[in-house]
Amino acid sequence: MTNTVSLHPATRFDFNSFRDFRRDYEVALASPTVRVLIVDMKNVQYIDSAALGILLLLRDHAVSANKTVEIHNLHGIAKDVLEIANFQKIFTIR
Amino acid sequence: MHGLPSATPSLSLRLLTHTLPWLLVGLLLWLSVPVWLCLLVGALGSVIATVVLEHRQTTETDTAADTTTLPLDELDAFAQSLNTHGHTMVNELSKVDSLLHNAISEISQSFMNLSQNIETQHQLSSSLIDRYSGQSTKSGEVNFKTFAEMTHNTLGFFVESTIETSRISMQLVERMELITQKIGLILKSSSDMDSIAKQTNLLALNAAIEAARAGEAGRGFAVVADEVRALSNRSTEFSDVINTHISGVYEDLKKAEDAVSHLAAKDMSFALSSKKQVENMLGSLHSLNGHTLTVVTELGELSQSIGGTVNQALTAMQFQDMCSQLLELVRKYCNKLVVYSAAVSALSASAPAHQLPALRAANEELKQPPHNPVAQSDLAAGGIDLF
Repeated sequence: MTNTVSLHPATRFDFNSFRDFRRDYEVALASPTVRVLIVDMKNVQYIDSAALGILLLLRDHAVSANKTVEIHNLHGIAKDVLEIANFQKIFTIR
Repeated sequence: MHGLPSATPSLSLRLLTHTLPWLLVGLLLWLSVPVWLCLLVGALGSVIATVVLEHRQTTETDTAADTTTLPLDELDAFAQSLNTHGHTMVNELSKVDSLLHNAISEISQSFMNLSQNIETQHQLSSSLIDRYSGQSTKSGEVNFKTFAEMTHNTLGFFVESTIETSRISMQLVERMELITQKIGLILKSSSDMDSIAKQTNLLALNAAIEAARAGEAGRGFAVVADEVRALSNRSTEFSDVINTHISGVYEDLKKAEDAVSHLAAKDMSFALSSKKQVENMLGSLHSLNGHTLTVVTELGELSQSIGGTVNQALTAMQFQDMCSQLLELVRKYCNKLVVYSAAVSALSASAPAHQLPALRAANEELKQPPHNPVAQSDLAAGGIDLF
C-alpha cells in the first residue's frame, strides 16, 4: 500500500529512542500521500512510559495532520503494558 | 375357677348308685335273658348312674355350699400380702410417673433450647449468605470485592497519570528541540556577524595602511580607520559574549531535557506486577467467596434439617403424656386389688352366712375393668400435632 508507512521503534523503546523515532515519523507526517502510520512493534522487547508518551504525541500529530496510527505485532511486555494503559481504546491494534 | 372345694357325696349314695346296675343285671340273668344283653345293660346303667351322680354332685355343691365355712386365716394372710404389694406397686408407679415426668420435661427443655440455637445459627448463616453473595445493602460496608475494584481503579488512574506526564514531557522535549534548533540559527547569525566584524577589521587595517601612505593628508583618515578597527574588535567581543551565553543556554537546555527524561521515563513493570497481583487477589477472593458461600449454604440447610428433626423429637415427647395415663390405669388396677384385699380382710368380721356372698360380690367387683382414658396405643395413632 502506498499510503501507509511503517515505523520501527528500537528494541528498547524508551526516551533515548525518541530522536530516531521522531525523525522517522516527522518524514511520514510531512508526506501528504501517507494516510496511515503503522508502528511495528515486532522488535520491541522493552517499553517504558516515555515510549507511551511518544506514541500519544505521535497520535496527536497524526490527528492534526488528518492521519491515523496503527500498532502492529504487539507481544510480550509491550503487549501487557499497552493493555494496562488501555491503548486498545485509543489505537487500532493489530 | 374361684369356687370353693365342694362337699363329698355320701359313701352310701355312691355305693348304691354303682351297685344298682349290677343288681339289675343279676335280675335279668335270673329272668333268663341272654348274657351279652345283661352285660350291655349293666355297662350302660353304670355309665348313666355315674353321669347322674356327677351332675347331682355339682348341683348339690352349688346349692349346699352357702353354709360352708371359709378358711378365713389363709384368706386374711393372702389379703394382707395383696394389700401390701398393691400399695407398694401404687407407690412405685407414682415414682416412675414422677421420674418420667421430670426426665421428659428436661429433655423437652433441652430440645427447645436446641431448636432456638439452631434458629440463631440459621439466621447467622443467612446473613453470611447475603454478605458473600454480594446482596448486603448496609451502607459503609466495604467488602473485599469493592476493595479490590477500588485498588484496580486507583492503579488505572495512576497508570493514566504516569502516561499523561510522559506525553507532556515528550511535548516539552519536542519544544526544547525546536529551541535548540533556534539556538543553532542564532549561533550561525552570530558567526556571520563575527566574520563581518573580521572583514571590517581587515578593511580598517587596509584603510590605515592607505592613510599612512597618503602622509599628512591621510592623518585624519588614519584616525577614522583606527576607530573602525576598534569598533570591529568590540563587535567581535560582543559576538564572543553572545556565543558564550548561547552555549550556556544550550547547556541548560540539555540539563532540562535530562530532567524531563527522568520525568517521562518510568518503568512500567510496577503497573504490570500490581495489576497481576490485583487480578490474582480478585480471582482467589472470588473462588474463596464461592467456596464460603457453598459451605455456608450447606450449613444453613443442615441447621434447617436439624431443626426439623428436633421438632419431630419434640412431637415424640408426647409419649410421656400417654405413658402417664397408662401408669394411671395400672394404678387403678392396683387400687382395685387393694380394695379387694380390704374386702377379703373384712370377711372375718362379718357373719358366717354373709361371708361367701360378700366374697362373691368382691370377686364381681374385681372383674369390672376400671375406666380407661387412653384409647390409643401408639404415638402414630395419637396424631396429636403440637406444631
